[in-house]
Amino acid sequence: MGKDERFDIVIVGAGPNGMTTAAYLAKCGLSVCVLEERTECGGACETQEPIPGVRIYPHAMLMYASAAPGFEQLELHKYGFRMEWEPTNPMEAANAGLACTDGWRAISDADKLGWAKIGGMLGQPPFTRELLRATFWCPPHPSDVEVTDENTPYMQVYKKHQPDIWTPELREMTMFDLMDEHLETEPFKTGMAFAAWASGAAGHWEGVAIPAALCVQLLTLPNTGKNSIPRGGLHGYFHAIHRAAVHRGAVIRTSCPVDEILIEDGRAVGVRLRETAAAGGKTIRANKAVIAACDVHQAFLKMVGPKHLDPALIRTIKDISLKNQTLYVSVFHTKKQLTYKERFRELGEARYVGENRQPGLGIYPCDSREIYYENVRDVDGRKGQPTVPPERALWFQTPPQSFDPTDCQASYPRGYISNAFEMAVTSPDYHTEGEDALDRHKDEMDRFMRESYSQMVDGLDDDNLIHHWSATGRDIEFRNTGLIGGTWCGSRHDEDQLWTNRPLPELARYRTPIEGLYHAHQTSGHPGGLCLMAIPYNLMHILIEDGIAEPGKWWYASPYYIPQEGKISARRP
Amino acid sequence: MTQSYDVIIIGSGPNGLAAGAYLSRAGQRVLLLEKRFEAGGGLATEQVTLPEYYHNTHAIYKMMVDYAPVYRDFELESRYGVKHIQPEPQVAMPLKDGRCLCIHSDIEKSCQSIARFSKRDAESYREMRHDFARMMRHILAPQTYVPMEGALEMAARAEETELGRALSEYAEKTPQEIVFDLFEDDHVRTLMLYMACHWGLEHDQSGVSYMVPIYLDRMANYRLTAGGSHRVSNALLKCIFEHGGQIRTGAEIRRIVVERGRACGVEMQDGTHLSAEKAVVSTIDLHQTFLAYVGEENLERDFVEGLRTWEWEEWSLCNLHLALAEPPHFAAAESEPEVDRAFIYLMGYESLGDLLDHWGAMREGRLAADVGFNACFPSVHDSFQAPVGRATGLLSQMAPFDLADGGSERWLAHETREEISEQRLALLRQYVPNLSADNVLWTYLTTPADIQNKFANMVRGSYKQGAYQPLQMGYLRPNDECSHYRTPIQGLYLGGASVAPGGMVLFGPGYNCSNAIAEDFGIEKWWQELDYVTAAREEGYI
Ligand SMILES: Cc1cc2nc3c(=O)[nH]c(=O)nc-3n(C[C@H](O)[C@H](O)[C@H](O)COP(=O)(O)OP(=O)(O)OC[C@H]3O[C@@H](n4cnc5c(N)ncnc54)[C@H](O)[C@@H]3O)c2cc1C
Ligand SMILES: Cc1cc2nc3c(=O)[nH]c(=O)nc-3n(C[C@H](O)[C@H](O)[C@H](O)COP(=O)(O)OP(=O)(O)OC[C@H]3O[C@@H](n4cnc5c(N)ncnc54)[C@H](O)[C@@H]3O)c2cc1C
Repeated sequence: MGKDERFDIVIVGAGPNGMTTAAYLAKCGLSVCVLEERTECGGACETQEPIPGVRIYPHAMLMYASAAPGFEQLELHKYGFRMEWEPTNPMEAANAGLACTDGWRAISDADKLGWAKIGGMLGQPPFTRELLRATFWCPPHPSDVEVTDENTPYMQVYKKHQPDIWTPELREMTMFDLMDEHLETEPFKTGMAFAAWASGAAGHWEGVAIPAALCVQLLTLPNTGKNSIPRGGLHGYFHAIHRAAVHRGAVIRTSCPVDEILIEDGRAVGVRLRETAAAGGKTIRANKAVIAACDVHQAFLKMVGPKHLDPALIRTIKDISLKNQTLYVSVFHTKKQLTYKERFRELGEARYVGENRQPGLGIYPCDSREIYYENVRDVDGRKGQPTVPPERALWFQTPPQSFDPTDCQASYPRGYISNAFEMAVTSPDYHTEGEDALDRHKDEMDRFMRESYSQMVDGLDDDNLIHHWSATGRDIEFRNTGLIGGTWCGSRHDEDQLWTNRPLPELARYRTPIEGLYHAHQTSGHPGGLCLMAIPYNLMHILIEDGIAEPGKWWYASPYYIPQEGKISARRP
Repeated sequence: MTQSYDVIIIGSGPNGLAAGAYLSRAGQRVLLLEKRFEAGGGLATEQVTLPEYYHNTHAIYKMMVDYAPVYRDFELESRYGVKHIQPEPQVAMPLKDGRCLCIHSDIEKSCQSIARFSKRDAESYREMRHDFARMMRHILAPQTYVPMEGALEMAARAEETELGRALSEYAEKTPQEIVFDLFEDDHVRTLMLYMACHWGLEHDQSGVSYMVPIYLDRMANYRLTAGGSHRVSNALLKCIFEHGGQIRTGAEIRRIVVERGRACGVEMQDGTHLSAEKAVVSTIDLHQTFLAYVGEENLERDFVEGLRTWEWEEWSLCNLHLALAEPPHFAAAESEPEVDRAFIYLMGYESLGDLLDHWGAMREGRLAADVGFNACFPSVHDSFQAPVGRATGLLSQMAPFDLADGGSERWLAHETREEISEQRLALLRQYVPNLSADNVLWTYLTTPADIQNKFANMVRGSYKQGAYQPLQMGYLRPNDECSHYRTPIQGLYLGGASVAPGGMVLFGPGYNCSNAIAEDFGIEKWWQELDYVTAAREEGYI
C-alpha cells in the first residue's frame, strides 16, 4: 500500500449508515474507502454466537425500513436481499389481540380503523409509503427556512390525503393525544405507546406524536413483511448493502480504527488510523469528503478535537442528551419449548409459543396506560432499578421466525432458543446507582426478567432453562462503540433532538463547521436510530447540493425536500 | 432467474478464498457461496467473550507462513497489512516442579533447554531439526503445493535420493516409534510426541508418519497473525473483491446442477439458479458435496460406496477461550523468565503416561477431569487482541466427539460445559497461579459438538474434513479419482480440506485446485510456481 492513499470519499464506521452511504456514493462513481474498527462490518446489525452454532441477534432484529428508497436505488435484491413482504394487514387478522394480565384483549374495529387511518391505509389510494418517506426519508429543511405546519413533510401529506388527521395542534401533540382522538381501547393504545417508546420516541412526549406513531407503523404496516425479519436477519440485509457497495468498487477496510480526522486550513482532508490498525497507523486522504458514520461524541470530541471547533459547540455536543431507555435483551436456551399460559391459549393461538417454535410478537401487559407510566417513571423519572413489580413490568418479544435455515437460531439442532425478550430499563449514563448498576444487579435483574416473562409463558423455570443470555445497556455500549450511552439509538429522539434539531440545529443538515466533513450516524442525524437507510439517503441530497455527488438517472429526491439557497438542487430538473 | 459466473466456489474457508482469489485475479467471474453469515471458515476472529477481546475461535497457529504461496502471490503483508508474529520460545512445557522444557526457532537455544533434561536428546534434536528441515524444504513442502503422485511413483522416486529414502523409513514407523528412537527422556518424549500427533495422528499407527517430520519441523515455525486469523481471510476476500469476485453469505444450496454428466451450476433453496460456465468448486466435506448436492443418481455405485466408508476424525478439539484481567505469570518463570512469553504451552502432561492416558481415555470416549491441553495467550504477543493491560487466553484440548456417557449430546449440556471449564481452569492454575477466579473475566467454550453445529462441513468435529489415515491421505485423499481436484463429474472440482494435502491452514487444496482449473480451461496463470517447488522438481525430489 502506497503511503499516500487517496480516495474521493473516506467514511469512518461500517455500520448500516456508513455502509449505505458508501453504496450510494460508489454508485455515483466516486472512489470510496470505508474504515471499520472491528474485524467485521455491520455495526449494530450484528449476529452473535453465545454458544457456537447458536446464533442470535443481540441488537437490531426487526426490519423497519420497508419504505426506504434504498431498496430500489441500490438494487438490493440484486445483491441477495430477500424478505417475504407479507401482503396481509396484521390488523385484519381475526385473532389479533393485545396481551393483558387476564389474557388477550381483542383489538376493536375502531382501533383498527383509527390505526390504519393514522398510517395512511385508508387513503384513496393508500398513502402509507409517502407518509413514511416524508417523515423519515427527507432531509431536514435548511436552517433559514422556518419550520411550519405548511412545510413539515408529514403535515403536507396528511393535509393532502387525510385532512381529518391534520389539525393545527398535530405537531405539538403526544402520541397518546393522537390515539385518544382516533383509537378506542386502552390496551391497544398502551401497547402502541410502549412500542413507540421502545422504537425511539415515547408515547407521552410532546411534539413527536407522528414520528412516534410512525416508528411503530414502520413495523406494523402491511408492507413490512413476514415477521419483519429478512433472510439472514438484519445482518443479512446489511450484507446486501455491503455487496452493493463493494460491487461498485468501494474499498472496505476492517480492523482499521480511525484516531483522527485530519484538518488542514479548516478543511477535512483525510483520516489517520490507529497504530494497531491492519493497515498500520497511516494516513488516508479524501479528495472530496470525510464522512463520520460513527457516534457524534467520538467524531467531534475526539477525532476532530477541540483544536478545530468552537468551544460553545463542543459544549453543546457534550450536552446532547443520551437520556433514554435502553433495552435489556434476554434470550433463553431451553430444553423444551416455551408454552403460553392457559389464559393465553384462546384466540386460536398455538399452544406452543409460536407455530415455528418461537413465541410470537407480544407486548405485555397492556391493561392500561397507568402501567406504561409506572414503567416510564422507573426508567425516566427515578432512573434506577425497577420498582414496578414483575407482573407490571412492560416488555415485548420479537416475532416468531419461520424456520429459514439461514436465520440465526436455526442452525442449532438441540434445545430451543427463544427470540429476544426485551424490557426498557434505565440507560447506564443516567442510572442513579452508577453506570455499572445493571451489571452489578445482573443476576437479580435476570430473575426479575424471568418472573415478568413468566406472567405469560411457561418454561422459564430452572428445570427447563439451560441458559439465560442477557445484555445490559453497558454490554451493548461496550460491544458497539456506536451505541453510546448504552442506548440502542444513541441520542434521545425527543422534540429537541429530532428533524431540524438533530443533533443540533447547526448540524442538522449533516454538514459540520469543518468544510468537507459530514456526519452520518444514528446519534447525529435525522431520523436517528434504526437501520432505515434514511440518513444516507438524506445525506445524498446535501452532497448533491455541495457538488460532491452526481448520481445517475436512478436517483430521485424527496418531494418534500427544500433545497438550500444558492446550492445545486438535489431534485432532478 | 439465472445469474452467470465462470466459477462458483462452495465454502469460503482458507481454501475457498484462496481459489477465489487466484481465479478472480486471473480474470474469471467468481462467486463464493458461504452458508454462514461471514466469510473465513476456520480463519475466524470473533469477540465472543467481552468487547475488545478478540479470540481466534478456530485456526490460530499458522504453520506455513514461510511456505504457502498465497502470502507471497497476493503480497498479503505489503499490500494488505497482514503481519505475522513468531513468538519465542515457540513451545514451552512447564512442569509442576518448576522446571520447563522450551523449544525455540533457534536450534541451539532449544538444545540448551533439552540438555537440562538429557544431553543425548539435545544432540539428537539438533540432528533431527537439520534433517527434518531439509525434508520439509525439498520434499514435504513442495508436495503440499503440487498434485500428489500415485503411491508407486512416489515410492520409486523416494528411492532415488538419500533424503527420500530417509523419509520413507519414517513413514513406515509409528509416531511413537520415531520419537522413542530419537529421544530417551520421558519429558522430552512427551513434548515431541504431543507436537507430532496433536493435529490428528494416532501415536501407534504407521502409514502417515511422513507427517511427523512436518509437525516436528513446524513446531519451531508456528506464527500468530497480528490482529487475529480473520485478517488473513479478510485480506483474501479483498483480493477477490478487487478483481470483481463476489460472495454470498447465508447461502442455502439445494443442489449442484448436473446436466449430462457435467456440473453446470448451483441451485439455491430459494430457487435462484446460478450458472457456472467453467467450474463448480466444492471446498466442503465429501458427504455434503456428493451425497447431498450432486446426488447418488449422478454417480457410480462404487464411488458412492466409497464415500460412505469415509472416516471422520477420531477426535476433535475442546477449546476454552478466556478473557483475562491480566497476562499469565507462570510459576516456572521464577527460574526461566522467558516462559511467560512463550507461544504454545503444554500443560497437564507431567509424564508420557499422562499423555498416553489421555489418548487411551479418548478412545473409550471418556472425559477425565485432569487431562492436559495446549494453551496460548495471543495478546501477550499482539496487544491488539485485548484491551490494554488485559489478556486473551485459549486452552485447547484433544477431545472425542462421542462421549461414552451421553454421546455427543452431553457436550451441549450446560452443566457439563460449566464443569469442563472449571476443571480446565483448575489445572491451568497449577501452572499459572495468578489466573485466579477473579482474573478470569469471561469464558467461552467450544466443544467437538459445537464445531459441527457451527460448520456444516466439520462433521463429528472433523476440522480437517476427514481422518488422517493411510487410506485417506496423499493420492488417496479423498480417493484416487478425486485427489487431483477433478471428479467423475466434469466441471466439478474439489478444493477443500477433504482433498490432498488435507486440512489445516495450508492453502494447498485451494491453490492446487486453482492450478488444475487454470490448466483445464487454458486460463493464463498470473502467478509463478514457487522457487523451492521448481528446485525440488529439478533435483528430482518431486
Ligand atoms: C438492543 C437493540 C435492538 C435494536 N433493534 C433494532 C431493530 O429491531 N431494528 C432496527 O432497525 N434497528 C434496531 N436497533 C438499532 C440499530 O441497530 C442502530 O440504530 C443502527 O445499527 C445504527 O447504525 P449506524 O450505522 O448509525 O451505527 P453503528 O451500527 O453504531 O455503526 C457504527 C460503526 O462505526 C464503527 N466505529 C466506531 N468508532 C470507530 C472508529 N474510531 N474507527 C472506525 N470505525 C469506528 C463501529 O465499530 C461500528 O461498526 C437496535 C439496537 C439495539 C442496541
Ligand atoms: C477449533 C479449531 C482449531 C483449529 N486450529 C488450527 C490451527 O491452530 N492451525 C491450523 O492450521 N488449523 C487449525 N484448524 C483447522 C483449520 O481451521 C481447517 O482445517 C481449515 O480451516 C480448513 O480449511 P477449508 O477451507 O478446507 O475449510 P473450512 O475452513 O472449514 O471452510 C469451509 C467453509 O464452508 C462453509 N460451508 C460448509 N457447508 C456449506 C454448505 N453446505 N454450503 C455453503 N458453505 C458451506 C463453512 O461454513 C466454512 O465457512 C482448527 C480448526 C478448528 C475447528
